[in-house]
Amino acid sequence: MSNNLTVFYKNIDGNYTDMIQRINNESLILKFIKKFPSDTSFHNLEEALNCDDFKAAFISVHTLKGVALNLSFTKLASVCSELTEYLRNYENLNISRDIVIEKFEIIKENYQKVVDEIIKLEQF
Amino acid sequence: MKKRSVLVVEDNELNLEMLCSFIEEKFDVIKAYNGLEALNYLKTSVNDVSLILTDVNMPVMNGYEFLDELKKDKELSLIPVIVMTQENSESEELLALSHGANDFLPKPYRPQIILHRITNMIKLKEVSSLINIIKNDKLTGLYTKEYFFLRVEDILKQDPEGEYSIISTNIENFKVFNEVNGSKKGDEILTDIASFILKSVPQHAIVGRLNADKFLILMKTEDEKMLREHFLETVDDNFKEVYFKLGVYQIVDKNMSVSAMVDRAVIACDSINGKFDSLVADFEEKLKDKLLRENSLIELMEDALVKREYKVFYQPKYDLKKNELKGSEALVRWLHDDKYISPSEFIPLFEQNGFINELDKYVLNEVFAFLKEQKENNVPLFPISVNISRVDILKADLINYLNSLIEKYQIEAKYVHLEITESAYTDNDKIIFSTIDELRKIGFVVEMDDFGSGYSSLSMFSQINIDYLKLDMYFIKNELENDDYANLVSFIIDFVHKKGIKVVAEGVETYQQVKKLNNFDCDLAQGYYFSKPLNRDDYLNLISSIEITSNNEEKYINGRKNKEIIVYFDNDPIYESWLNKAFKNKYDIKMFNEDGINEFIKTKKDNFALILINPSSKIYDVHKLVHDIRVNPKLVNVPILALIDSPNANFDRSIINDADEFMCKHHPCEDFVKRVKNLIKYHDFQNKCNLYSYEANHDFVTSLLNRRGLKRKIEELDNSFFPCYLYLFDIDNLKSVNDFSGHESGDKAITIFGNVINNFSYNNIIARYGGDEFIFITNKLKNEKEALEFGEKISILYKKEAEKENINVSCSSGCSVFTSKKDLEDNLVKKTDKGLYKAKNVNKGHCIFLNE
Repeated sequence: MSNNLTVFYKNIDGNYTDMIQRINNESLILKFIKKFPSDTSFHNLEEALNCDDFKAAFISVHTLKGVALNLSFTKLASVCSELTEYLRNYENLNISRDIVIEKFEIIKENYQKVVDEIIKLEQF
Repeated sequence: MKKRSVLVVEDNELNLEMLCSFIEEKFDVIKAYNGLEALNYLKTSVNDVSLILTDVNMPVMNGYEFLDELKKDKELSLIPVIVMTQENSESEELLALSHGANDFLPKPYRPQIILHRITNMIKLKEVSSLINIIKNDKLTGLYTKEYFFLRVEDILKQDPEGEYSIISTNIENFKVFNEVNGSKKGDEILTDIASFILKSVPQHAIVGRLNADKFLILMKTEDEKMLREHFLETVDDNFKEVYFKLGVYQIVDKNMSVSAMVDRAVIACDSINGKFDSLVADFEEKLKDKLLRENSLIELMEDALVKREYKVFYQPKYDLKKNELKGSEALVRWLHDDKYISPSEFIPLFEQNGFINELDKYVLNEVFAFLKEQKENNVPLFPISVNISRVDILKADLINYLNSLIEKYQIEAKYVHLEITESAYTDNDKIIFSTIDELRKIGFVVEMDDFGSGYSSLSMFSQINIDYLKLDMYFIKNELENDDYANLVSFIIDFVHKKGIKVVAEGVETYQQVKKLNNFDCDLAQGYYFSKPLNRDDYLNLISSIEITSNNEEKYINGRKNKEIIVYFDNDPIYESWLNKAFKNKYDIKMFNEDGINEFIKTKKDNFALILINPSSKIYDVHKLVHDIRVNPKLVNVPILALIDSPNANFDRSIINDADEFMCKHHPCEDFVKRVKNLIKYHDFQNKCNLYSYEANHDFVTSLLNRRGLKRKIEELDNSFFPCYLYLFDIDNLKSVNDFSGHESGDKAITIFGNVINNFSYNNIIARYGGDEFIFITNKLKNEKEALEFGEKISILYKKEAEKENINVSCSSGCSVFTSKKDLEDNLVKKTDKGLYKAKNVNKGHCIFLNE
């Protein structure tokens, strides 16, 4: 099992060591990971950006970052953090939509990767 | 330790689940998806939550807003809050703390740290709140109520198998004691009792002070019995001035809150309030029902005052010897929802909670108003006794209130008697005595009520000044049956009589009791034997029909001549008062006892409408009475109605024939009244007939028979009357008397003759035959010689009597014999004319005998 988890975390650029240190329970970790795809944060983020709602986007990406951190999906958390900080002052008129979208795409890529790996995990 | 609850506020499902999984082991978790949901939950269940774990970013209400809301509420602000912040976000951390969070925990979640932080935070909070509670009561040194409750919780948790009891103690009369002796002494007593309790309870027990005079003990049930006995033995010696009570609740259900357990111990304690002989009581389920009932009464009591649900009834009091109404006692009944609530239920309750003061004032007001109404309608005023609670008697405002009533209604104090129960005197004698003196000075009459129900000493009577002592039959009825001359009742009555105090017996139900009380010289009595308590209207009717008089004769002479008197021979005051009511305004009712009867049968008065007798009466011989009545010429025409007590009464049935009418006392009112009216009417009619008959047959001037009467009289004769002598008298020279001296003298001459001849009326027949002619028939003479002698005698007598009146007349008479009725009827006119003619011509002014 740990092989799978280790592989999983390696594939997504996560930090398995951190995870196992915090939550020393493999089945619990697996349980949580399996729940990740049903988390709505990413979809909320996508929605918000479609509407150009930067406030909502900020909240969503902030949340997504937190969730990723909790699961030690460090790479995903990191790219979320970038957009989070950029959007922190969402009221600022200087915010460039393009940059936002750019950062979002990176997040999307990583997110997709995680989800795919999770599906692979489930097959075992 | 009971499992504490943590409220987790997080909108993200995954996060929420993770958190819950970490803490579920150690804590109960309550989930909320945002601040608002969390608040709504807290509003209803604030007591359940030991700690709140909250996220920052949440829809609807975020973490900071949530914190702000929590801090606004006094109770909610006391719950510790930990905020889940983002890693490396100092700004978030600072923000959280500044909004009042107790601590923060950064993401990612570290389960062990989260658990530790939560546990520590909860412990810290609980310990600090304990420090805020004051442990000991300042005055007594016992645990305070709050601390006692906490300790009980602790002890019960630590020893789940142990059997414990909670004991509540109470000082029954503490409030009064405090008022009378001052709060300093009150505090001393409390401290003494607290020490006493502490010394008496075993080591493991804890003692607290619930409130002013109530203490609580928690101890093992097995030791409780010992404590109970110890108290019973020692408490009276140690505390003479106060009444100590204990209530015991044995703990069965450990899940019950301490507060509920203590309540039960208190209920048990309260249940023996007022009971002299009980020191300890155990809690029983039915006590709870009693408490519920009492609570419902308490809720209704004030409204009842406004709605006038308290009805005042009046029970008449009678003078035992004279059988006269002397006054009444006002008794209050509570009519609620068409049902009467017994005073034994609500009076003790009102005395406990002080409402009795309001009720007593209400009753006093009603009574004064009633007296005023009577006065205005010229109804005779009888004093009304009002019960004053021993709780009121100590209040200064009682006297003020009474004075205000006297002012308002303008009724003299002497018409209101104040009944104060015996136990009031013994509790607080000095104050009571002086209050009573003041009341009597104002003019009130004071009665000691329920004598025999409490504990008084005879020496009290030398200090106290009361007017009446009320003996309750309940306490004396057994003693009353004791015929021993050393009878206690007799002794009490004599004793207080010597002190100038009168005695009222209350609750008198039988005639036997009445007789005995009378023998012992009891002054007044009230009870079902005389009358049940009457409502206002019935009582008003009763007193309206009574004539106030100390001497009925006088009243009669002073102008009630038109009312005829129905005389009643019996010993039945109830019936007598009923008669008064039934015939009020038409007849006076006079009732006689043995002595009265002897007087009555000799009476010369002739204004009696009816005489009622009781054939079963033991006081008099009914036949003799009827006979005596009938021989009295003034009473012979009065109808006699025989009234038996009941359909099965024992009596001599021959009386039915002797009496004019016959009835049983158990009759409807209208029935009796109609019968009596008819009877009287009939007799009136009879009497009138007799009168008319008399008038038809008698001469108006002389009252002698007239011609018609004479004819009738002769018709009634039988042959045993014969032979008889008949005289025809004639007044000589009446015409000249009329002519010379006037008709007045002429009439006088006739009247004088009538009087003279009437002297010999006994068993003879005398008639005025014509203007100045008279017939006299007698069978007492034996021969002609005697007949002549008699005729002469009349002539001489008449002349003499007429001379006295300065009238110069004489009479002549002719006498003849008749041998039979037929002879008389046929020959009366012939013979007498002949005789008279001869007399006038042969021997004027004398008598002539006619031989045929």
